[in-house]
Amino acid sequence: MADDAKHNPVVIKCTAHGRTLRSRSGRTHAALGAYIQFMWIPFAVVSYGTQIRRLIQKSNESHFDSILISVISGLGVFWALALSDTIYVPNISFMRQVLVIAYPIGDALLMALAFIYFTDPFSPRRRNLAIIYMGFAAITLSDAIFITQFANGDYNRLALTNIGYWCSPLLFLYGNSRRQVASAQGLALSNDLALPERTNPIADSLVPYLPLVVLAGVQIFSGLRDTRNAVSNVIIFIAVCVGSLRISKYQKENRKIRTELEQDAIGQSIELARSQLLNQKIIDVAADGILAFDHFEQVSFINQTALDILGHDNLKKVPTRVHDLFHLDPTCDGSCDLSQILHNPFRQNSIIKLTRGLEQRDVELSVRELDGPGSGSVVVLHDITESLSLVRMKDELILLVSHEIRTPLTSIKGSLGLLENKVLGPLSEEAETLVTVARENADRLLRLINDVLDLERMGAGKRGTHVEWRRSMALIDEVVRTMEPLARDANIELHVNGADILVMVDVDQFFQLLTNLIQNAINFSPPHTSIWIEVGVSNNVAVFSVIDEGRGIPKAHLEQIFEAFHQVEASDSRVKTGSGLGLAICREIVTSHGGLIWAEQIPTGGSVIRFSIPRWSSE
Amino acid sequence: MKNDSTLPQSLLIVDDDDGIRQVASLALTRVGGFNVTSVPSGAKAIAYIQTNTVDVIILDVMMPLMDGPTTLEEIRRLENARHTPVIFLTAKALPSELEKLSRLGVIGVLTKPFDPMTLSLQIRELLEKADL
Repeated sequence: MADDAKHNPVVIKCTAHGRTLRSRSGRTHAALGAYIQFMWIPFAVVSYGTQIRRLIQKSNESHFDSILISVISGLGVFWALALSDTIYVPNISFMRQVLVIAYPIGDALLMALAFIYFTDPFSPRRRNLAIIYMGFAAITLSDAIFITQFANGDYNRLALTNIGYWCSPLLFLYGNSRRQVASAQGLALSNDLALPERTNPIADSLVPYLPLVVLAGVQIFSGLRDTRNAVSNVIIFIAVCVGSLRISKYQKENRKIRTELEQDAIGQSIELARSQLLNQKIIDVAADGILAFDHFEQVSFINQTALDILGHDNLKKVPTRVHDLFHLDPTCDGSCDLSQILHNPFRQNSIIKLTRGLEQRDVELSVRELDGPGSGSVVVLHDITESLSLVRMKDELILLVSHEIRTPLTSIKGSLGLLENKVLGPLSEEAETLVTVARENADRLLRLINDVLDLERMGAGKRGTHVEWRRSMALIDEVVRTMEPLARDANIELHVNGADILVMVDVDQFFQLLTNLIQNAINFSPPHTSIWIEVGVSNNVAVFSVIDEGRGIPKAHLEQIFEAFHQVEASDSRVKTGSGLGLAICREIVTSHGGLIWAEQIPTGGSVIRFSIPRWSSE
Repeated sequence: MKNDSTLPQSLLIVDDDDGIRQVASLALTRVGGFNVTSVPSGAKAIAYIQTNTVDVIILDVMMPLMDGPTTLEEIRRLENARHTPVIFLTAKALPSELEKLSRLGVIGVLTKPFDPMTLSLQIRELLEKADL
């Protein structure tokens, strides 16, 4: 540096702007100038450090492309216009040459970054950046003038052109001081569903290429002096223009597609939000309580009905642990019935009692795994207090009525029986007939009561099904033996036919089933006919059939006969002695065995009632 | 009737229903040849058993104030009736209830309505079975 000062007066002049100071007279002024001139650097680092880091972090290919192109083009323009002629000034030392080159390179780099970041349509800090950008523009302008004057040797540190160095720190300071407010606005904007503000897509895509085009133009015009380079320069210019246009076209299309996709996405988001709201509403107003919990037993979802059923009025005090939602017992170690229910999804629905204030509710719980083991569970709560109490009332009523009718019926039947059997002496023939009619109707009343009770027990599933393997023929033979006297009295023959297989049945229920069906067949068969009881296997189920030669069942009644108190003809109940519940009981029994019962017509006369037993074995 | 071959036994019927008491008494006396006494409540049964010897007790289940099972407990506390055979006669019909009753220390459970012609036979069968 000292050597340069001796040999080159231009350089001595310039040191007032640079870092070295050799002229004693200009030392103070130059130090002040240097200070002011370079004080923008810490501001720039502070202002741009964060921004550039963010830019690189969220950068995509197009950003880097743009930066690269812009920087290279910017350098090219500076080189062609400002440096190419001056950089080779013979009396400038190597260090000063580096300085002369470094100035525009640094300025171009920062200008390019500032401009690209400024034009980023997603930047939430556009206004701040615009101010900071203006600061850089001011510096760059002054730098460019400085470098030109410096190279020409007529730099004056007090020139008006140095105003850029003075006002840039103020612009940085102002831009940075606005940051907080602007950030908050940007944050609000980014949280919005609205599309970010868009710049013109063509201008946007051309921005990085503009310096390149300018470079090409400069190359051509500066190269006109050299005819050797003119042709190749024109070709470069055309190539750059075509490339720019093509890229601009692609950019435009991309932008269009992106905009459409974004609009689609926004539309779908709105639709999704709406449907989520609707779903939430549906779940909230559902009559059943619904709640979900994860495998840490933390409640992840609960609807309003569940809160109501569980008696949690205050949302803030709803426990987060699913167990505590049901019963708040700090001493419970998790081994209670409730825990068993909650941790055993897919088991049968369970009924639990919940105490809510002073009343107790019966709640049916069904627990299902959300998505495989360990994924948490969904619980549906169904308040069955009312329906359960109705069922209980009905059960109690039926039991009570049955008991209360049975007691007087015992006296009636007993008295009539003693009279009919002449225990208390002989009766006149007419009295005997009347006593028999009375006794038979007392029997009928008793059958009705018994059948109502049976049906009730079947329907409520209270009659425990104790199934066991039994041979079909042995079962049928036993029923037929008990029915034989009745059939003989009615002049009807019973025949048994078919395979001897093993069936899984409740013996008592099966007896009742077959007895009812044979009794029915006898009741509706004319004398001197036959009834066949058959066993077969069809469609992998055991099928039992009771076939008679009676009057048959009209087609319209084939399904209805299994309903309680259904009569095919109005006179049926008067002529025959059934309660009207026999076939309804049969259907309940078959259903409880997992089978089906149905009636068929026989074209030649008569009817057949078949029922299936799904669990059977040939041996 | 084959009842002539068995000795007449003293039998106590406990039932709150007048009609049933009358019919059962007639049937068991005329058909079964038992020596029948009937009382309308558990308390009266206890009082009767304290002063009389009874060979077999037919006990209704659902009675006001003191029901069948409670009466049975009281009877078992009496010195002279600790091992007297007791048969429940009930209008209850659920198998589960009948099974529960049969486990209360009786020799059998008979259901209402009963057949007056075979009631005594049923009682004798239960007595024979209990003796075995």
